Amino acid sequence: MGCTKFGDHWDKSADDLVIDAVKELSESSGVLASNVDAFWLGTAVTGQSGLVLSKPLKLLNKPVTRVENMCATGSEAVRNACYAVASGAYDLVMAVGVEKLKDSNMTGLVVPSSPTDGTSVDLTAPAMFSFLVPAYMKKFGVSSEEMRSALSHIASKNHSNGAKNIRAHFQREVSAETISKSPRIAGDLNVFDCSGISDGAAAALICRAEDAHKYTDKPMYVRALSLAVGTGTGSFDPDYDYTTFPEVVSCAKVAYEQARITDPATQISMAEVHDCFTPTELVLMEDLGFSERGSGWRDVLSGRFDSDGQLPVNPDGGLKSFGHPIGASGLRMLFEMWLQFRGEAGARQILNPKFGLTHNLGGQPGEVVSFISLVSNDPE
Amino acid sequence: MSAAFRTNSGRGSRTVASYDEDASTMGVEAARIALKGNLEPKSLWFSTTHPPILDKGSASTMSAVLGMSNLMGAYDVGGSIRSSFGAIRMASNEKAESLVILSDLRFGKPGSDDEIYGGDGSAAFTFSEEPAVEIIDIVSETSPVMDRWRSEGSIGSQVWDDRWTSDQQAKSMISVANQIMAKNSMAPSDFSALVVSSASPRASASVSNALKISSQLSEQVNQFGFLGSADLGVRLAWTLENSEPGQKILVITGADGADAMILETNEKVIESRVGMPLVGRSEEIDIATYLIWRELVSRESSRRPDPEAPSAPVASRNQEWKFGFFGSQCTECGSRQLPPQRICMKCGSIDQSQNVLMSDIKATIKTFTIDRIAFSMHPPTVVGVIDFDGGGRFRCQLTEVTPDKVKVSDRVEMVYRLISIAPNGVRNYFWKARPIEEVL
Repeated sequence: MGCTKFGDHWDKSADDLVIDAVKELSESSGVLASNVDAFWLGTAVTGQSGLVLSKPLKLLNKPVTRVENMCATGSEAVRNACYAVASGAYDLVMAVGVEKLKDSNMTGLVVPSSPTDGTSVDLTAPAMFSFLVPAYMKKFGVSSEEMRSALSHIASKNHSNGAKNIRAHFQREVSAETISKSPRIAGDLNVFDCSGISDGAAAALICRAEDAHKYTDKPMYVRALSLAVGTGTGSFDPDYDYTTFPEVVSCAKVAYEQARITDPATQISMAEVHDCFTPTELVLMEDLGFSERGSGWRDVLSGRFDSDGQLPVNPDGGLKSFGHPIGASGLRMLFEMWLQFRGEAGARQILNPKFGLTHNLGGQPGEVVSFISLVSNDPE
Repeated sequence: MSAAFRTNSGRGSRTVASYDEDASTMGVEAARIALKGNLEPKSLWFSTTHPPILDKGSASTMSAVLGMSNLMGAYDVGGSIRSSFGAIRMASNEKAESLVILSDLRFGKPGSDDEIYGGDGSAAFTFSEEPAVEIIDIVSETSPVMDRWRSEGSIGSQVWDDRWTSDQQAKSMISVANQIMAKNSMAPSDFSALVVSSASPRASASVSNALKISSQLSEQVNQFGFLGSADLGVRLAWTLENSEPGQKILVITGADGADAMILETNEKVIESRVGMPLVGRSEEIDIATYLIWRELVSRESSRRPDPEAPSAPVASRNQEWKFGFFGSQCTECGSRQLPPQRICMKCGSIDQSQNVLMSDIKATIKTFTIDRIAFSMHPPTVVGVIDFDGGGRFRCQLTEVTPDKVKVSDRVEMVYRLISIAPNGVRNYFWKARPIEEVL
């Protein structure tokens, strides 16, 4: 695998980022892009068609598919690439994710859209996810101080993890107190409750399990792939209560069944989850089965998901401090799993991981696409 | 009969339309009250001196917003202050039911008379075969003289000379008053009330003094300022709201000459009352807010993309939703969906639904948020998830709220408001929710 540093890459174009990621991959694997059978490129807003990859890499008439599934785009590239080799259609494939967001002059994420009738409320992403906070507090009887502590703990943990990661966009620790006092952006969310806007790219070389030994003696095995796309009716469905992502719950069930995981809370060794906003990570702990429903906030505060806790979540800093170039994030999560299983995670190393989980979600509460992968250094 | 108005107070006062209101939204608000659920008028006459758009009429949009069928004629007849009386004449001559909407904003350069003595407001009247009020007679005088004018694109009107203008106007107004009384063999004592409307307060006062008919009700509207095309409407609506059956009212307007009208009420005037106070919920705003709202000063906005004009073909396909706020109700399982859905989100039935008019249904706030970055004409954007009585949930902007005073469980009602103006001048309107005013 290869992964660029994520950040404000004023001096790098999307082409540069793609080349950097693939170059790192080629150097570590000894495989040139020209020897790869097929490519999947994940990018949400940085261009259309496979040309976005073939042009900078000078791929000659290779099959290159551009995929998009909002913030699960990078994972979608991996998922399709995996099925391509599993089906026998190809033997060696590459999944690349890239996003160049910092050439825009806008604040916050801007997603181009088709013509509409002007009847949807124009909300920013922080506002969309801010609905989770009062709903969770009310349903589970959490006071605003307790909630604020839990959310700040999540952000602080992720910044602390990112501080140990040379590839992270933000590599500085930030105290929970600073986070709690930062300016309001939307609802109860402060600046530090929100992941930022970054550029970056990552790439993975994928083959069938039985061929892995040709390329490395420490492969990472994909044990489950799951994608769940909801009906998108949450915002006008009176039965949706903003305390869960039903799409994630459903997605997790499928993934756990594939990998024969019966108790994720104890069997998952580490997880990279979609912490676009702090309450998202909190709710995901329950949706993924890492915490009992309604107790996630307590587990967060007890340190269960800290880097030295029972189930480290976002050990590489997460979207929060590593950054979120949309198309690359899913691959970046797998990159951390890759380093962890190979013992190459340095100061972030988790001891003897067995199962890793990566999770991405795109959209907003009530209208989600959810992806989960389960990976291991053990083929079965 | 109805009128809609809000006030601010201070040393002098005038009404100010909110940042998300314009002549068409205020007109809709008045009309909804006047119609009381009857959506049958066959013609709509809309008068304003501040049309939000030209070439494209606003009346046609307003009729769709009011939930009326496409099978009727909706006409803009505004541009001049006198147009409002003209609209009333047109509607009263129609054989079928019609609706008149008078709505306006008056403002000018900072410190001008239009700013100080103007006001924003709207009124609406329904006309039918069985009216609560009959027009007995109309007498008009017309003058070509250039006393007051405003050229296209100018902010604020001009008058040739204050005293000359008011003298001319008063003279015409008193003349038509005397003519109409003589023609109908009536004396001032026959009238229970006088409604006087003129852009010149001095002229109005002269007329009241000369005729010696009580114009007390009409004068109560003075606190709002001169309401342009809506001025006659609001004064008349308030006067009728406080009239008894069997009373005669003399109406005089001064503009381009003068018009006089004699009205007579009958028993139906009681049921036509709307039961609203003259001054409802009001909020004071400061001069900076007022200048920004009227776009006399522009303010730096956040770095978000410019608002886009709604796509005309998309809006056309979704007409009932986009304008009238019709949701869909599944005929199989009863689930209400906003916006309308062809495939029911609850039972999966395909194309088994009927339109349901949601605009008059009240709702309760389930949750809300405040977005401090999203583009807004008046940041921050407050967005609520609201549950309608009888079913249906919707996520929309909240208006007329103080962001930190909004609470879950607050009761809200839907209003039609301006969402944004695109760089190409197209206005995007839609429905917002506002707190229901508590009845005291």
